[in-house]
Formats: sequence, structure tokens, C-alpha cells
Amino acid sequence: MSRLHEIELLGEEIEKEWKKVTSPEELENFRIVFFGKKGKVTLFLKSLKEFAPEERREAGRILNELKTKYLGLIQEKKEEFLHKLPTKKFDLHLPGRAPEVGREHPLTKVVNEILDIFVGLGFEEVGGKFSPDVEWDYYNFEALNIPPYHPAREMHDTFFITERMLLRTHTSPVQIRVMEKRRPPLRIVTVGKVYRVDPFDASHAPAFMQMEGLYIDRDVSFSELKGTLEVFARELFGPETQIKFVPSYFPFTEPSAEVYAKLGGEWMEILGCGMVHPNVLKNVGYDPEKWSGYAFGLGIERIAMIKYGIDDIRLFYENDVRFLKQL
Amino acid sequence: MKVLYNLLKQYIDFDLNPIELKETFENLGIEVEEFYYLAEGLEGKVTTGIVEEIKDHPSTRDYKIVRVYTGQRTLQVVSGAPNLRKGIKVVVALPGAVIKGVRIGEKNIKGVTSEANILSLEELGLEEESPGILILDDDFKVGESPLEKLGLIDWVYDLYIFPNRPDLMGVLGLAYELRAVTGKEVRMPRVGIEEDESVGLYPVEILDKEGCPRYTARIIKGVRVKESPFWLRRTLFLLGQRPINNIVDVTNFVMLELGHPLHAFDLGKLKDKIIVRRADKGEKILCLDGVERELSDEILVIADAEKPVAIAGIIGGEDTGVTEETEDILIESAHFDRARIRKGVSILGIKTESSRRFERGSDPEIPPLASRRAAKLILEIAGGKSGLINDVKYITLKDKKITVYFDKFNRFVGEEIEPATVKNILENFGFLLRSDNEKLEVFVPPRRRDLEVWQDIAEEVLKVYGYDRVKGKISSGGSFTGKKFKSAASLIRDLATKSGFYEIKTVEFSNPLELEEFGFWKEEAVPLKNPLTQDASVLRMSLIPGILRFASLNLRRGQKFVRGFEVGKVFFWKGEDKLPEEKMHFAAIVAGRLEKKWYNMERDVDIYDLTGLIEILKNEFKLRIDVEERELKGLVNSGIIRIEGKDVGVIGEITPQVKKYYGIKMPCFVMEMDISSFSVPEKKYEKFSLYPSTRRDLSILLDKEKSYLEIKLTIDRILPDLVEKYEVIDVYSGKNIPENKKSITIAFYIRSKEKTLTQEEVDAEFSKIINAIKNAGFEIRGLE
Repeated sequence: MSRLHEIELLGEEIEKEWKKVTSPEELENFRIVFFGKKGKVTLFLKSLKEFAPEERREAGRILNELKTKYLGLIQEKKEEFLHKLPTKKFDLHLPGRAPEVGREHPLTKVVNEILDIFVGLGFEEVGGKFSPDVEWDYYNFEALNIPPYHPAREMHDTFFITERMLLRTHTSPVQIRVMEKRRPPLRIVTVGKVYRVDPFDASHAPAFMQMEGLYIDRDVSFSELKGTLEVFARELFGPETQIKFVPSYFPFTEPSAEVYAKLGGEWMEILGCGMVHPNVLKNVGYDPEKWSGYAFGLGIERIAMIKYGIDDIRLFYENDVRFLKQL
Repeated sequence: MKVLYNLLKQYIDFDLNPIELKETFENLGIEVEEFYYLAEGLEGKVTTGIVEEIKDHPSTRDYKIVRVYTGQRTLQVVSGAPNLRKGIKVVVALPGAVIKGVRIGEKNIKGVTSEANILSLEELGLEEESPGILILDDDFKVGESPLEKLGLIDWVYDLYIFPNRPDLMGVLGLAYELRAVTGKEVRMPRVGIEEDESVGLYPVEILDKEGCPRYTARIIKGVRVKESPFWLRRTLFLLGQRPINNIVDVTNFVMLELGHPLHAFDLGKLKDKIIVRRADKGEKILCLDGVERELSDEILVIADAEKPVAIAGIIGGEDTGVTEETEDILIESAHFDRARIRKGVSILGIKTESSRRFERGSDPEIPPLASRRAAKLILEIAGGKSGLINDVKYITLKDKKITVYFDKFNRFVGEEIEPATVKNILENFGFLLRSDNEKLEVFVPPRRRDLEVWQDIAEEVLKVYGYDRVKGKISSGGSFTGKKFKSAASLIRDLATKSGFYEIKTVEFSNPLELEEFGFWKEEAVPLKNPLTQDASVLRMSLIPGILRFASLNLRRGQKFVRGFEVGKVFFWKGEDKLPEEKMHFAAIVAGRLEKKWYNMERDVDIYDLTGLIEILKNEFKLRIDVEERELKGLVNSGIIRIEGKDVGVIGEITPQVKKYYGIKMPCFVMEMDISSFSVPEKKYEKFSLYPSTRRDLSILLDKEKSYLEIKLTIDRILPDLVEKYEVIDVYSGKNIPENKKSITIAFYIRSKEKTLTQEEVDAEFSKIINAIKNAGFEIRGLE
């Protein structure tokens, strides 16, 4: 067969294959097979010098014509494909590929929500070294105006490790540790685990979370304590929430109060607070004649239970994913 | 502390109805734990009847048929009470009455209709256990409601008294508190008695004057010990005390009335004198509750010439207790040091109504009054003759002066309260005052030892003034900027949840045996002296047991697949003189089988579901984290996690034995690491290349049991600068691969930051890698 005939046949093949091109992939494949670096047309063009001289010119003309024509057509087709609507059909009612997302623990969420409010009110969160779970009796009790054999110790059913070492029963020792290291004024909050000898039941847990706040400055007033916590409670439970302060007793504050919010028609206790007792200030070397302050503490689980309508504290520590998923 | 509305009203005539009284208590900070009306369910449904006739029941001997006349009609009642007699007056409950929580109606007892009930004291809620029905005395009129006379038109308040207020543990103290709010006068109980010198003065010797600064003793001779009168039994019962006999009941009543505990001895059983001293070590006493207790020298006792006769302020001795045979008694009314009593309570592990009051600190001025009051009631109820009081005291407490400066006070409150208002409130508390324009001197009596500093006085004023009358305001805080504590824990939480893991929280207690299952933490655990259970007797050193329980619970409850993590503290014992070391750990778990989806195959979880998390931490914290194979207890496929060459944690698959212990039947992988040293990295913008990148793939043949690690190390050693990144895109064994080999395909991305690379430049970079791999002895399967 003459080379020219081969070229003619190639022309026919190209024409036939061209008709089969219906997708961008096929188009690219077509381009590579005939006009790519090792494509059939390219190879023929490269081998023109091997042609008989009388055929060379004709062959060159045909090949170049093919090349020009089809490179143009390819370009046109490419454009055409670009503007053509995709033909693939999707069923929008099939469930999509949803990656399973994890979730923070509900208590983490509540902590962050509460922290955000207090941070917005100018409180700085402290933790780490200021906040060990295992404490000395001194920090948990004595420095907080609860000397040995003080009846208030009865309010704290304590896990002991040694006679002097215990699991903190509240986050208030953080107050002492921070005040020992820093000079007033200060405005801090902290979150941590606290422990009480209470077996698990629907409303008790042997370990639970607390948040503590402390503000020390010149002339801090009871009225400011009220104002700050009112803002907090309304921020957390809604702007219309009714709030009341009821006298209470904590050895490390004087006066002391419990704050109630009216939620779902019922008065619910949400936190304890008071003006820092002068003995506490003295214990950390602050002059109570110069400085005054307020402190507050709240139970995270309690707030979470009120906020989300959870009726059993054990749900937080059982970790059923059907619970974790909901909040 | 329980109190009755009408009882309280005997001491102060307030204008508050029962509900208002409850609210007043609450506003004063006295929590009302329980509040109920005694005649609830009885009012209008009970009447006084007279038994007209008693007949035998036709079919049983256990019941009688009684005809009771109630003024309008005669009712037929079937009753089994043993003390029924014709002509007695009884309490008749009509259908609709609620007795001990149950609504009664007409009923049929073995064929006979009973139209009503005849009630006992027990059914009326006035006694613990009644042997028969209540027989009323002649004061009660047939057809009238007996509720008033029985004292049932009354309300019970169960109050929670804070430990700083021992003075509120008696009705009189509550009356003083209400005086502050209502301004009404307090009526003191009657104490006028005749004392007879001839009865004698009982000798008292106080050896521990610190433990007992005051002791009074009073002899009463010739008492008749018997059951107390109804009013006394009823009152004690309603206030939570079990009536015993008239003498003991009076001492208990005075305790409830004045808040001051007393004790009565059988004088005939005391030897010579009272000695207040510390117990000798090993000394024993049989207590009134029938328990013999061994004492120590930290415990204060009341002894006679021979032996301890009571544990001071806590509980009396059985041998010298008052019984039916007792004729002469000795009334003790003393003041004990609160710390000493509390010590005794904590050593002996008992709490009594008496110790509860003494350990909070009783009023040192009250013993003579309490003694007189008890004598007064005993003489009235049990007869006898009272001697003089022998009052031995080593304490004189004067009123304490606390100075309040108005200006300071107002700044403390945050708004101005008129000096006149302040004075008026404090006067109503019964405090003597002296004041000028600037300040107020408050003289606080010994019964209010909780008041020590001027802030205490401020609280008393605010309590009555009303916390809610003080306007809340926010003025300062302006110079403070709030910020959150930047912890690695919160970043890890964020990353893990985004990776599909649920955060869990478990308690910090652990079972020491459980920790042993994972022997990789060699340190000593922190033990609890008083754990709730053996399962929770130490503080955890690992989060793995807790996270395994999470997986177990959820798999057992029907989940096919769980993925969770915890960030929490673990604790290591450092000896008695140092606080334990607390480290922040992160643990994660995957367990079960990923279910089939229309776009996904089902498969068991595997370790790569966890190591992916390590990759993420690596990138976010900019840390070099490696895993090194290591055999570990409780794990297979296990390794040590290392950061910059330091061991920080473990990873692996849980062994079948451990899985069995936790009831896990599915594949389960865990990892745990110490994140205490993690810090949130400061991030900076890095310029990225705008030139095209070229990808070259390389497939390398490797013995099946060999690790990818060797290839990785080879590449990392020579990694050319222009290789932007590389990643494993395929691991394959099977067709076209020798049986004992696997093929790992790696994609290399080659890109310059400065220019578009030419084909030749790319090839040059890539061949560096190929050569290195070849030189390291690996077989290359294919290039592309």
C-alpha cells in the first residue's frame, strides 16, 4: 500500500472517530490519539521525509489540512462542551453524603456560654496552676474563714486523702491562690471540678463542675454585685427573667446571698454569692480597710439542667451518645 | 429545725398568716424545707362522736360494729380497736377525709357497711404508733370539730438553719429574728419557781475549763416520772422528737424552746459529785441509745466520782438515765466549747440534737435561764421540789461592741440607707446602740456570737431592709478586659469534634484494679481515705477505663459504632507533703463497625481512624508526633506516642481479655496522651506559591510485613526543596504483585515559589527521589 493511501485511510478513520466524540474525555482522547505528541497524524508528519518525493507534497498537504481542520473542530467542540449543560442526572431525594460530626459535651457548651458572658463583663478566666483539684485543707477551708472544727465544714462533705490533703469541695480555693500571687484590683473567673461525698442519684454527683468569680477593687459595693449578676442571669435566661436575691450563709462572704431566677413560673436557685469576708482578705495580705470585693459561685450541671430541662444529673456522666447528640 | 405556727406565736404576736410567715422566713435567709398544714384533708371531714352501742361482727371476732352518734345522726362504724367502750367520745372521720395520705370512703368489712372511721392519734398524725383509737376527754362536744382542741389547726415549718446561727435552733431565737422584721415584742417563757435551799446544792468540779467554761446543776427531789401530758407529747412529736417520759420530755422541750440542750440524771445513781473532765483513754460508757462507746482523751465527759455518766453535750449515759423508778433528779444546764464538741462528734461519729446545737456554739449566758425554765415545767408536770442552782463558771461574756461608720456602710451597700432606718432595724434585733453623726456602736449580746465585724451588721440590716430593695448597678469593670484562658484542651476539643468524635465526661475516681489492666502508668495512685465504693477508691491515672466504659455502654445500648474523646485531669501521688501531680490528658476511642451507606462500604473501625487524629494534632499544634511500636499491657498493635522524642502517650487495639472485662464485643482502639506540655501555637501567614504544581506518582514494592516507616525515613532524608508535599495514595497487594509483597504508591507534588518549572526541572527533582529510593534497596514498581 502506498503511504498516500495509508494517509487517506487515516483520514477516513479520523472522520469516523470524530463522529463518536460525545464527551470532553472522548474529545481529549481523540486529540491524543491523532494529534498528540505521539498521535498518528503527528507521527506521519514527522515521517514525511521518508515519503517518496512525488507523494511527499500531496501527503503534507492532506496531513496539514487534517490537522488544521480537526484542531479547529476540537477547539470548537471544547467550547461547545464548556457551555453544554451536564447530562448526568442526580436524585436529590437520596440522603447525601453527610460526614458524621462530633459534639462538645453539653457541660462544655454551658461553661463556654457562661464564660462568654463574664468575659464580656471584663472577667479574666484563670486556671492551670491556680486550680488544682487536690487541695490542702488550708486553701479549701482555713483561708476561706472556715477553721478546723468549724460547723460550716458540715456543709461540705469532704473526700480526704490525708488529714491535710483533700479533694476540693468548691472552686473557692482558686480565689486564695490567685490573690496570693497577684495584687488587687482583680476581676477573675475560673471553672473546675469539685467533689463531695455524695453517691450518684438524680440530683447528686460525687464530682461536678463549678464556676467561681471574684472581683476585688476599691469600694466594690453590694449593689454592683447585684447589678453584675442580674446582667448575667438575664443574658443566660433571657432579658425578661425575674431575679431575686435572698440572704444566705457562706463563711467566706458577708453579706451572703443566693440568687434565684423565675423560670417556667418557679423560683430556681441559680447561684451563691456575697461580699468577700474581711478575714479572707486578711488571710491573703490584702488590707480590708482599703479593698473590698464580691465573689460568686455556681454549679454548671445545675445551670445546664435548668436551661435544657434535664431531670437527672447522671446523664452528664453516663455519656449515652443519644444524649450527647441532642444538645 | 421544726417549728409550729401557733407555738411560735406564743413567743411573739406577729401579724403574719402562715403563708406570710413562710415568706418572711425565706426573705430572712431561713430556708423552709418543708411546710404543711396539720389539718390538711381533715378539715370539715372530722367530727366528735359518742359511742352509743357496740355489737359483735357476725362473721369475725377481729371487728366490732359500733354505733356512733355525731350530733345529727348515728353512724355505723366497723372497727377493730381494742379500747372501744360504750359512752366514750371519739374522733369520727367521714367519707372524703384524707387519713395518712389516703382518701377514705364508705366501705364494706366482711359483709357489714362501715359509714365512717374512728381515728387514733397515729391516724391524726400526732403519734408514731397508736395501740388503739383516741379517747377524747369531756371538754370535747359531740358534733363539734375536734381539730382546734387537738391542736391540729396549726402549720409545721421545717427550717434549714445555717451553721453560723445556733441561736435560731430554738423557738425563742426565731422569735427574736421575727421581732427584727415585725417590730413586735418577744414574750419570754415563764420561769418563776420556788427554790428550796433544803433540797441541797450538788457539788460540781470542772477540770477542763476550756472545754466546759460553765456548768450548772440543780436538784429536784420527789418527782413522779410518767407519760407527759398530751400537749407536750404532741408538740415534741410534731417537732420530730420521740416522747419518753415527762422529765426527759421537758428537757427536750426546753431545748426546742430556748435552743439550749439540757440533760437530766437520776440523782440516786450519781456518786458524790459531778466532774467535768476529759475521758481517760480506753474508758467506756454505755449510752442512752444502747451503744457502748470507747472514749479517748480528746472527748469531754461528765463523770461522777467513779465513772463517766455522759458524753458532754452529745449523749447521756444509760446507767444514770431517768426511768419510771427515778424519784430525784439532777438537771444539767451547761456551756461547752464548740470545737471540743465537734471533735467528739467526729471521733465518735454520732450526731444528736444536742451536739448539733453545742457544736455551732451555744449562748454562754443562757444555762441558768434554761435550768429555771426546765424546773418550772417539771414542777408543774411531775411535781417535786427544786433546789438552788449550782452555777460554776469560768467565763463572763459582755456584749460585743461593733462600730459601723455610716459613710463606709453606704459605700459598701452602694446606695444610701438612712441612719434612722439602720438604727431602727438594729434596735428591733434587740441590740443596744450608741450613735453620733458618723458612726453607730452596736452592742451585740452573747447569743449572737456570729456577729463579729461591721460587715456582719451590714448583712443584718440588709436582710431586714430587703436585698431586693438595693438597686443593682454596674459602674466599674471598665478598666478590665475579659479574656478566656487559652488552653490546649479547648483547641483539642475543637479539632476532635470536627473530626467526628463526641466529647465525653467521666468522674475522676477509679478502681485500682482497673488501672492495673493498663500497666503502662507505673506511678502510684492517689488514694481516698473515705471513698464511696471500692470501685472509686483512687484518683484516676488514665482516662482509658472511663472511655472504655463509654464505648461499652453505647455498644450495649445498640450503637454499632462509637467515636469519643475526653480531655481531663489525671493524678499521680507525690507523697504526703506535696500535692499530687495533676496532668491534663487527652484520650480517644473508636469501636464497632461503620455501617453500610449507599455510597460507602461497611467496615470495622481500625487504628487509622485514630491515627488520623494524630495527624490533625500534628498539623495544628506544629509538633513532631511519632508513634513507635511497643508491646504494652492490655493492648495489641500497640505503640508509644512520642513528641519531640519524649514519651507522651499510648495507642493500640484493646485485647480480648480487657474487652471482655468491659463487655465490649466489637473491634476497639484507644489512644491517650499527656497534653500538659501542649501550647496553642502562635500562627503567622506564610506565602504560598502561585505557580502550577506537577504531580508525579511512584509505586514502591515492599515486603508485606515491612513498615512504610523505612520508605518515609528515606524520603525525608533527601526531600528536595521543590517537593511541596507528598502523600500515600494507595496501598495495594494482590493481582500483578508478588505474593509476599505490597505496593505503596506515593504522590509527589513538585512546585516552585518563584516560577513555573519546566518539564526537565521537574524530572530532575523527581529523579533525586527515585535514586534515593533505589539506593535504599527498594524495588520500584512503576513510574508515571
